[in-house]
Amino acid sequence: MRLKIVAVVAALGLLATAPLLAHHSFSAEYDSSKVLTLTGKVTQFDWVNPHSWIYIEVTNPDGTKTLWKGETPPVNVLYRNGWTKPMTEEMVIKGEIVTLRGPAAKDGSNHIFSQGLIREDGVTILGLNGPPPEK
Amino acid sequence: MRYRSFRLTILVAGFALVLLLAQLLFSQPPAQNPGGQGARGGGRGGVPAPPAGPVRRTAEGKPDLTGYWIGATKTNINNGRGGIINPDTGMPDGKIPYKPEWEAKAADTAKNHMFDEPYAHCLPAGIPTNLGLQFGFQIVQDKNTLAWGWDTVGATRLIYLDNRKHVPDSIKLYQGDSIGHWEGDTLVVDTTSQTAGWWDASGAVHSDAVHVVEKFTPKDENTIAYEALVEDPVALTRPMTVTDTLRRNGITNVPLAFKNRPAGYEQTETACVEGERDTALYTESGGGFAKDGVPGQAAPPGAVSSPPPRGGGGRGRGGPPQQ
Amino acid sequence: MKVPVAVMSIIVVAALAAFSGQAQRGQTPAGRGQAAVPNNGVPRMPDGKPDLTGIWQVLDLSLDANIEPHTASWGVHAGQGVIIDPPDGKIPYLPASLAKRQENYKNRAKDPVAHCYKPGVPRINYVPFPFQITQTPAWIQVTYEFVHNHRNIYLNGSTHLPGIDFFNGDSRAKWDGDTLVVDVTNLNDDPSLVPTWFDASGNYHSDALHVVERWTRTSMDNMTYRATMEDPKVFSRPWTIEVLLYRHKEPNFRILEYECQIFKEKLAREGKGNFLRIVEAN
Repeated sequence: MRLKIVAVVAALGLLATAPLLAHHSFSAEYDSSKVLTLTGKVTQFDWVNPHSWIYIEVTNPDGTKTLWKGETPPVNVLYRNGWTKPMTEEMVIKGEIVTLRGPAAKDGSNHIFSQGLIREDGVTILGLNGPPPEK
Repeated sequence: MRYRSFRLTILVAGFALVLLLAQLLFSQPPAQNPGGQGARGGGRGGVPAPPAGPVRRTAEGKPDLTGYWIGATKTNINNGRGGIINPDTGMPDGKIPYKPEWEAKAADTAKNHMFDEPYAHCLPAGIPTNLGLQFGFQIVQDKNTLAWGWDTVGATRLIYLDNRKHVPDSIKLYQGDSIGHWEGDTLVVDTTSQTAGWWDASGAVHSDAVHVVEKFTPKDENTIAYEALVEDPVALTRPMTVTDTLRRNGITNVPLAFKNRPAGYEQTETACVEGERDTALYTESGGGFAKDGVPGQAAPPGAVSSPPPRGGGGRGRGGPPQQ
Repeated sequence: MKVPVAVMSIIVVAALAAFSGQAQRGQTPAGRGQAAVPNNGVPRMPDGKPDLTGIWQVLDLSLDANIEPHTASWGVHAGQGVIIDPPDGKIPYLPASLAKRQENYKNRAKDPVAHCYKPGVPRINYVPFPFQITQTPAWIQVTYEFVHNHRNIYLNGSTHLPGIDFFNGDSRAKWDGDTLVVDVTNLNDDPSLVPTWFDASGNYHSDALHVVERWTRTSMDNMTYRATMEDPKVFSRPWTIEVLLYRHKEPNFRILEYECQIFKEKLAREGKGNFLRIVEAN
């Protein structure tokens, strides 16, 4: 148990400084000083260029649910690193619980630039510009 | 007992950190991959490339530039690391020789008008800008044309090799109008008629009076020495020379998805217009249309944090955009 | 000495047969060091394969609007259609699919091409914009003027990529005599995102679409393009179109640009909405 917690904390720490893509317009859309860590159920994964989008349903303390959208690296980056459409479709079908972390949108809307994704097993990290875990 | 398990925990956490760091470092772009003519090399970074063979040739004996290529990513070309030749020293650590009013325009663009970046609107980036954007490009070369395709925006470019005339000046093209010819083993390409645009992804604006002469000189099978003489009489005090080294994409580091394919790496389709949603997120302070709000206002308590100041080290490439 | 008529006839017939055999191969014998000179005008590559290079475009402006036979309407040319199989010239929709097609037609202001999205295959080859073929033995790039679309056609024996789809598909090809046969899979249709249509009238497909193209250059200035569509979720059987492509010969002709997304953006901000088609309510 302690190992798992430490690993997740370590993972989050790494996500905070995870290398971003040399993103063109990052600072005009997202506020790097407001980093969000959100855990929720994957409800949709839009496999689109120039950036894909992962939608998670976050349950708030009062029981209400909020839909958050995480922008990801481009489809081609995901694909090169071993992500496939069937894989993300399965995450949606299963309603997998994931944790996203990244800077919040400057306009206050429910968007983040997701620098990384921790999957349901808690100890596995997917840097979104890295490969998915061996299955 | 307690002390021992604490030490073990630290050990494991440290090991996990090292593994994760290694994974992140090795998974960074660019994917180094073979040109479309057979995989070679393999293995992740650290495996030495086999010695490069001689320049590939077409049936007519010209250098054959067909394949996947990648140069330096120049998010900010004006930071002394953009390959611009400093005319006083001859070193590639120079800056853009802006006229004062255009220097001011560029600074204002970077601060207040990032929304105007062509890439954000799925527009091709222009020449040589497109060569400095991430993820590389492909060239298919026959006797009439060099047909290019980029990963970013899925942009294209056609270089015509028959010494034809340029299009009239009144036509403006995002990628310009490119006519090429061979001088020995160097492909010389003359480009006119570019729209106004940016030299990079950080607001280095240019006018539509740009004229570019590029020289592609293959050094060996996998390397091209690249040089672009750029004139912009409206924005610059003098012409500037931009340099780079283009390497075949995929000699040492085949991405996972292509590792077991005999033909190796392929550049896949980028459908930008139909998937682009970023423009809606640009706020007014960046020249966009969304109202500046409170970032993370709808997040559950505890979800918001401020990251510690960034230390150095540990990353070779990537990181937030250079400013 | 008199040669019997019969023998003469045999000689003449034999000579004609030999000559027409060569004509079928599209070339007359080349002199030393010369490329084969085609006698039907189809140039050849050094490896003997047909040279498909050039800038091509359809002349028939009715196709992009509607590939079935149709009368003119506002902004739409009348056309006899290009479906050669089935023989009745109509797309063989399953009954339930025909209803969706009619619904698409009512909503044809949403035509994805009118919104600058990628047209998909085969439509990308008959939108009213030119395209350039750049050809090497193992790799062809087709570069389309419409919003910088481009396709890679691989002739290196490689297989389709798994686990991903594309608006313009994944194309792997081989030669069948003088015809380039291109197998196109991984075509895109995600109704929750953006579909591709066969034309602006809402003729559509599912994610099961598989297209086989056949490109045959028939002369210096013409290419016949055939495409066979299979999609058992939408159609009761495969169907085939045949389109004639013309080579651009205007002096100095080249591919320019049509980056309609920026026009669209500007007009949308001016409140002009769907400006690219004025569609009669139907």
